[in-house]
Amino acid sequence: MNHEELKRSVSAQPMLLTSEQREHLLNCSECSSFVQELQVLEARIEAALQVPVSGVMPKPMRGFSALPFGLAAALTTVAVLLTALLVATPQDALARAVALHMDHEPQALVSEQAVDLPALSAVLAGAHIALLPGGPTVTYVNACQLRGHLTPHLAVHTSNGPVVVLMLPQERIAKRQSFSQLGLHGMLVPMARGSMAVVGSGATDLDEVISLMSSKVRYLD
Amino acid sequence: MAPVIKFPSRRSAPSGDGLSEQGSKTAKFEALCARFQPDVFRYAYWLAKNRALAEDIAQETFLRAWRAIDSLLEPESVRPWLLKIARREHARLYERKRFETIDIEDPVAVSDEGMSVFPSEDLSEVRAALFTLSDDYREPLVLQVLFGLTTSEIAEQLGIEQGAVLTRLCRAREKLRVVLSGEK
Repeated sequence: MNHEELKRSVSAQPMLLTSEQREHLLNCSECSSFVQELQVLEARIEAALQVPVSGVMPKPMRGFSALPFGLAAALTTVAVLLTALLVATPQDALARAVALHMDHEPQALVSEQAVDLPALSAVLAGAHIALLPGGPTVTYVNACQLRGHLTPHLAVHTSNGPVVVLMLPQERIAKRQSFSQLGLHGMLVPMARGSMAVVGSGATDLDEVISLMSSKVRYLD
Repeated sequence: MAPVIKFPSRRSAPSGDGLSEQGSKTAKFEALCARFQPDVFRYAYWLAKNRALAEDIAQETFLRAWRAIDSLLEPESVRPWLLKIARREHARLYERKRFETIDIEDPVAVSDEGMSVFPSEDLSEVRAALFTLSDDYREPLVLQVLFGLTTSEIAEQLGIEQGAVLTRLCRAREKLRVVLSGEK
């Protein structure tokens, strides 16, 4: 791969570097500098594309303003990271991680069929969790990774729409905390082991789901 | 005042099981709106280059989505489905109204209410540069950067070859780089 080929291919997908491209960059300061500039540009482009949307939000969403999340956000300046570290609590960071994770799994919100019990049990068991009989109707289940930990990702049926539940046995939190991130409204709830994130739209009753899940979740040794 | 999306009333639903079914459908739709409205609005905005038109397009998109929500078979395709509807609505809007001119001053000056990590002057500069791109270059860039679509997904969305998508993305960034650096 020569310099021009690398610049052309990276310009099409600056956030997805192949092993061949990485190898070239290790040995070419000119191209490495080009890619660094391109990735800074990418962060600026993403921020510029995130135009405010609050003017057209439906009632439950009023007050929401978009933050420039995404791949390019990871490449913003050190100052931004320092600022974030200074102002964000660990629970804020967890809430943001939950919202970002949900952003990549929108299908959880539209499943309506109850999942197979064996599939649900298997995913929960992977995180040393079991759900007692009589729990909520689970319409979606997936074994996800969140902040490096296996995280059962469920969607629970309620009369006002689906509510997403992320079981976070590795994420200890001090107290219950509500959050609004990326247009999602949720609650982080301390559990006997770690915590649980419950997220829904403005119309859904999170307390109902929290109460039901809390009474039915058991942690396995 | 910008229009607010009106959801079908639960009270107008039929009784008995129908009420539950209608309520469930409405709740499902509201969840989709809450989740995807920012995406639809932003996509419409960068297509139309005008905030008011983007609001119209977003409104129409969700109204059409409501009517067709029963036909949505694959949950993972919600976002592409909505973006396709928005794209068609944008095309329809232009067929109906045939706008003569587009004022790019207003879109560029959109306030970010202090939420961005970049200074507003910088955002305005980049937005102005984005508006200098032709639609053919800007749209795949929006789909890739804003929504994280792969080049094959963009190709499918735009109905063009993946190779063409790669070329357009490359040229779009090259043009932006030149414009923003002041190179000739």
